[in-house]
Amino acid sequence: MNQGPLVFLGTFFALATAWFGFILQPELQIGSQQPFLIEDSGQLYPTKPAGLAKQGEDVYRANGCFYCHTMQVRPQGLGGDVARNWGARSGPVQSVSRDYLYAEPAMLGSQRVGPDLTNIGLRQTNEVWLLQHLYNPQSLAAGSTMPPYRYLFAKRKTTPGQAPSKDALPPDNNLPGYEIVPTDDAKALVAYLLSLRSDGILYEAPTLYVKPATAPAATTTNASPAANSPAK
Amino acid sequence: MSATISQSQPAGTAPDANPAVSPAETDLSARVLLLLFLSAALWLVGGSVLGLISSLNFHKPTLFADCAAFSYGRSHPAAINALLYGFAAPAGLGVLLWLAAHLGQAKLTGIPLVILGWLLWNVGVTLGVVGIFLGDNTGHEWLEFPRYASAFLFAGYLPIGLAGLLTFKNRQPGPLQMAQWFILAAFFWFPWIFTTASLLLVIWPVRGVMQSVVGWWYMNNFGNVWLVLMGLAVGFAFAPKFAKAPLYSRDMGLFTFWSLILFGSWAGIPAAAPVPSWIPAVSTLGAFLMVAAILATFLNLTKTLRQADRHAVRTIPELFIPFGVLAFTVASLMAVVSQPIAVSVVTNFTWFIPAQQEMLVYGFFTMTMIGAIYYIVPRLAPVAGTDLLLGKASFLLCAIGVLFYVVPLAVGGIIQGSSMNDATVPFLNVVKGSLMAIRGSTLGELLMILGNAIFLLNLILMLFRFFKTSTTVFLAGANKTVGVGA
Ligand code: HEC
Repeated sequence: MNQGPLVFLGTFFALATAWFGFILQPELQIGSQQPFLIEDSGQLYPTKPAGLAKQGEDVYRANGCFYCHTMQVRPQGLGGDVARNWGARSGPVQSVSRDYLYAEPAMLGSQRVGPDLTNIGLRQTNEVWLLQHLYNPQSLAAGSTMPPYRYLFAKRKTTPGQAPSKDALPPDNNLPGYEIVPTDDAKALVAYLLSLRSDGILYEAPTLYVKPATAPAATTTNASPAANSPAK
Repeated sequence: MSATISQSQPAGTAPDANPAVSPAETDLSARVLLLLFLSAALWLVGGSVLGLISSLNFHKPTLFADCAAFSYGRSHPAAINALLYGFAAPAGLGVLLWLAAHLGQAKLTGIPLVILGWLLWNVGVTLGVVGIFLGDNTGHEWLEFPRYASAFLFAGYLPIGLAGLLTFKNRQPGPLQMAQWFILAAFFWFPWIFTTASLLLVIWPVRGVMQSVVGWWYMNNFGNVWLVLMGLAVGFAFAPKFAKAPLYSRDMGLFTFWSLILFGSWAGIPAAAPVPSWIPAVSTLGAFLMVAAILATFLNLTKTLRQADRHAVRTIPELFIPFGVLAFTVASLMAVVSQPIAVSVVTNFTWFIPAQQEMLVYGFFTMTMIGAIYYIVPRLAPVAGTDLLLGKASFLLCAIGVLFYVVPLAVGGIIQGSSMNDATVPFLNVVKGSLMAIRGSTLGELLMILGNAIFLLNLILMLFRFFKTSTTVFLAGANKTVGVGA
């Protein structure tokens, strides 16, 4: 018997099932998710990153920050993510698929050499700290293995008496006669980091949100259906 | 000298079938594969050196602070992609083409196709690695090459795959040998997964976390299915050859094949992924359905190899390929064990993951292919009476190297994961706690680089001697006519 066709068809069938199961089916389920309207504030979550933060996303990708940092908070009870305060929501605080709606690309990461950055914009709101950390992580976290990103900064000679540049890092005693000025890439990257926060309210991971449904839905027939079952 | 590695003669020959070709003729037709092997070996050395450069970041984080290209986030993906696309794919495809021709007792068909494909493919890999250095990384692991590079890979694969199918088609009729199943499936697997992933991640990206789903799917199907198909094709073809005995069990071989393509292709979605929970659940199921097949493969191939004469001296390929079988078993079991949530909660996001990948990509796949190439090249470029240089040493360097890399990282990863899950341990202590393991693994990298370099050196020497003898023969003829004394 010529088994060539059997192998071909078998391979094709296997590829097709894996494709339908793991590509098409998930795409149908979550591929067309929309941002969620937060009823109280009328705001949408997640919001589209704009301007500088959007450029910073490219810097984050190009420099491979995601080989050492994840962007995914695991649910409470799974590991120490929540206890380490990497989450933002209270209650079940894990990341959910909708959080990544506008990530281009989605860089969830596979390694935690450094801490999770899902909510770094909530944890660390000081732009100067972030810039300084980027320039010299070891100066702020002794023993850190994060490489310094000096190539994202310009080192300029200063003349005595000259006023420092507007966005220069705080003067460093180890570098007399020089100032360190972040490049556009560094500024964009930090804007991106500051924009990272998943404190939006989602029904998949509810938080501050007290469901009216604590009063049984059956008795209050006119309870807002939108509040009980937010649109998918 | 080049004995056939096919075990069964066709019972009846179809009227229009090509006449069976002798192994020597096959080898003569397959010389073009030397191109693939040589470039693969160059990328293997280049990629492993890049890997070492990226690891140096952990010895001295400030080392490349002013050098964007060598910073960890660029040199690390450049190394991985050089190994996967520069070495693994062409080495595997070259070996598969040779096997397809030999097992089918046919000549290698489509030599111009192979040359064209090889050229385009290597242009693609070069562009891709340079692209990563320049910051054009796509952001998707194992598919980091920017689209201008992927286009070349795609264009390069097509002619090579076509040559594979044409060669396969010219085989002698009769039931397929076990390795031929794996070969045929492998030729189809890659173009399908590569096109799907490139289209959905790079060309018309799907939204949000769907990108991660496609990415995990691709990584699993590339590493745990495609590389495994190619590596096991070598295992199933060479084990009977080394033992000079038939395969222990064909039924077990078929079981491996079907399990791998049907269930192995589901695995790889991390258990705690932020996606609807049925996706990781099905993935875990797929991983567990593989357990029996992994053990069956190990049993089948070791039982086959055990039939060998115990006192016969082992050739160098007979060291590399059995090591690959063992590493396949270990790497696959590591993947299965770390799939369910109870273990994944510790191992995920730790150094355990790269340890598993290295066991698979280097311990299993690379070792298997180095063994096969050491076997094949002297047959393509025969030179009388020459031995491999430091053959055994290169095996020991590669084998000990991969263990020195994998064991510290796997153990270190488990420690890292446990302490990371304990929020009372400050994060910086977790960081410092895993430094020993990372730095230890660099020793393994060094040993592997040496082993890889000897491999490259041997290929160059073999080719050099071969071309020298053939040109001497040629010149000797010319000298006589011209009358120039030596
Ligand atoms: C080689 C691995 C590595 C790479 C690459 C890396 N980091 Fe880090 N990062 C770390 C480690 C380890 C820490 C924890 C110690 C510290 O704070 O420096 C850290 C900490 C951080 C922090 C502080 C987090 C907190 O919770 O305080 C930020 C912000 C950060 N990294 C951003 C980045 C950015 C942006 C990039 C890419 C340009 C990057 N990292 C690349 C390893 C890395």
